Amino acid sequence: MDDRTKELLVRGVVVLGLAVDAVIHLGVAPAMELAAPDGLGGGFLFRAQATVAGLVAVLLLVTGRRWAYVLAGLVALSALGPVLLYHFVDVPAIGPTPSMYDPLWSPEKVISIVGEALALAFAVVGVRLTSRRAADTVRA
Amino acid sequence: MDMRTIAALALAAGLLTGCGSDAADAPTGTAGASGTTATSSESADLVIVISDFAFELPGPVPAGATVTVRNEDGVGHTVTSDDDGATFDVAVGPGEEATLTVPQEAGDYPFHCRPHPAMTATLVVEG
Ligand SMILES: [Cu+2]
Repeated sequence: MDDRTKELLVRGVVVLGLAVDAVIHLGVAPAMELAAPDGLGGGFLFRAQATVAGLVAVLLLVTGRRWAYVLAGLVALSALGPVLLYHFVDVPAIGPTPSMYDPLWSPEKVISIVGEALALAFAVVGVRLTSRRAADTVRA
Repeated sequence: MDMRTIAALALAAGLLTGCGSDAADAPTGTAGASGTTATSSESADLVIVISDFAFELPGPVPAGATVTVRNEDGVGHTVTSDDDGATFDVAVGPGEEATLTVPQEAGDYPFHCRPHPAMTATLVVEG
């Protein structure tokens, strides 16, 4: 498999992972507003996550550039980190961030975690692939 | 003599109270003043406590009663009937209380919490 095909496959997985993350955050946002009404509100935070993930997914899909992979990885991490943190730790409200503790599993939670983890892992691969590509271009 | 009178009154009151809660749909007039008192003191104790992501129910509740929903958690919850909230749907914020009106029809009403669908319980309503 040549690097171009490999990169396209990797890009596809990252875009798909971010799309899953965006769709689930958007769907769960109304419920999160009920669970975390304080500060900025869970609904707002989840919609913001969905919007940013959607935008970055489109950017990566269109450009396939290294910076887009970096952004994609950061967005995936910005969802994956908190969902795991708030699952295991009862973090109180911090400033404008409401308490979003939720020790229970739900299909939505599991699916979004899988999507985010795939997006993060493959974004790292994508960054490596595009770095090599950039290096090759310079050498050539 | 006095003791016997008191015992008889107590027994009568007990019967009335039992009658009142067993047949809540009977006209209030039949039970009289003691029946009404029993009903109102009952509703004062009806509380659904939400603590550590679980519902604690007060046991069977009378039809049409008012139940307090007390949320002791740091996040919000809902008491949402499983028919997508058509029968009842009460949201209660972190550390807050809300009021739920029990359905008029006796039966079992399974419910859940919308943000946490794994939180489930059943409200038993007696006629
Ligand atoms: Cu809940």
